[in-house]
Amino acid sequence: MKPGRGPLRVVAFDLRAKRFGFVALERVESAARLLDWGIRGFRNLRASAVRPRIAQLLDMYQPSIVVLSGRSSHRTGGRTLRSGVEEECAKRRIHVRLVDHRVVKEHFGKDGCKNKHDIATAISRRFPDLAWKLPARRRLWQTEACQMTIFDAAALALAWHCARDHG
Amino acid sequence: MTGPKLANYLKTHRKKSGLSQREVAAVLGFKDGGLISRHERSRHVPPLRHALAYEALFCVPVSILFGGLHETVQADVEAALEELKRHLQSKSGKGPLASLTALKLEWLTVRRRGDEGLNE
Repeated sequence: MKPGRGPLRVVAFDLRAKRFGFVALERVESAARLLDWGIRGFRNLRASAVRPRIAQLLDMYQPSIVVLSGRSSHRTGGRTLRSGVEEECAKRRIHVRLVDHRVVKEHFGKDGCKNKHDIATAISRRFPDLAWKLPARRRLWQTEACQMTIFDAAALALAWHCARDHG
Repeated sequence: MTGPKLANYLKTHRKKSGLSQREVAAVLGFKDGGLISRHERSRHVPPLRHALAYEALFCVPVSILFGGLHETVQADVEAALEELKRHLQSKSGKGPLASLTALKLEWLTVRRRGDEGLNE
């Protein structure tokens, strides 16, 4: 049997103040397929609260790359969480890639996506397994649906894939 | 930057189907979803009967459902066959035993050719 090239596994995290969304993607040649997705909640903003949950996912999917958002604010404790994830990745020798939200906007802007809902719709078309998670379009007075964090994580992963393919 | 396959893809196929662990457990005749969870996290390798039940449920061959495990087992068998081939080639016999050895070596060659044909 000829030894084939192994798959490239990527886990993307969208870190929020009290939860994070994740998607795990596996790419063989040029086709990316969705392995898993979900939301994990935590009670406080300390990195110690998030790390076991991140570690569990990293151990389960053993990714080659972890993709995080390049944007994080002190106010929501984003940097604390990000450093927690980065330390867990460093322990396992997993590369971390930061993707700026402008890169995500540029990538999905090519398909005519103007806002987060359009991006989430485009993602659910690409991965029909996620279609049932797609929230209704948010009204001005409504808060964002918690499942949007899954789509944000998927957008990071897809934007990173695209940026990698096109140098 | 690529890595090996996951030991199993049970969770991927379960989530694709939209079924919960409890529902899968009920279909396969388990008491609760705990065993499904252990299988998904590779804490426990399911016996053949359960592996075949997963194949029947998800309509995906066992070798794909347990991709990483399949690769490991296949590599072990290939290594053992190479060892057997070397052992057979080192044998020098006459009579019916020699022709049996020749038959085995021929089977090993044909098997390898068929395997390569399947992978192309």
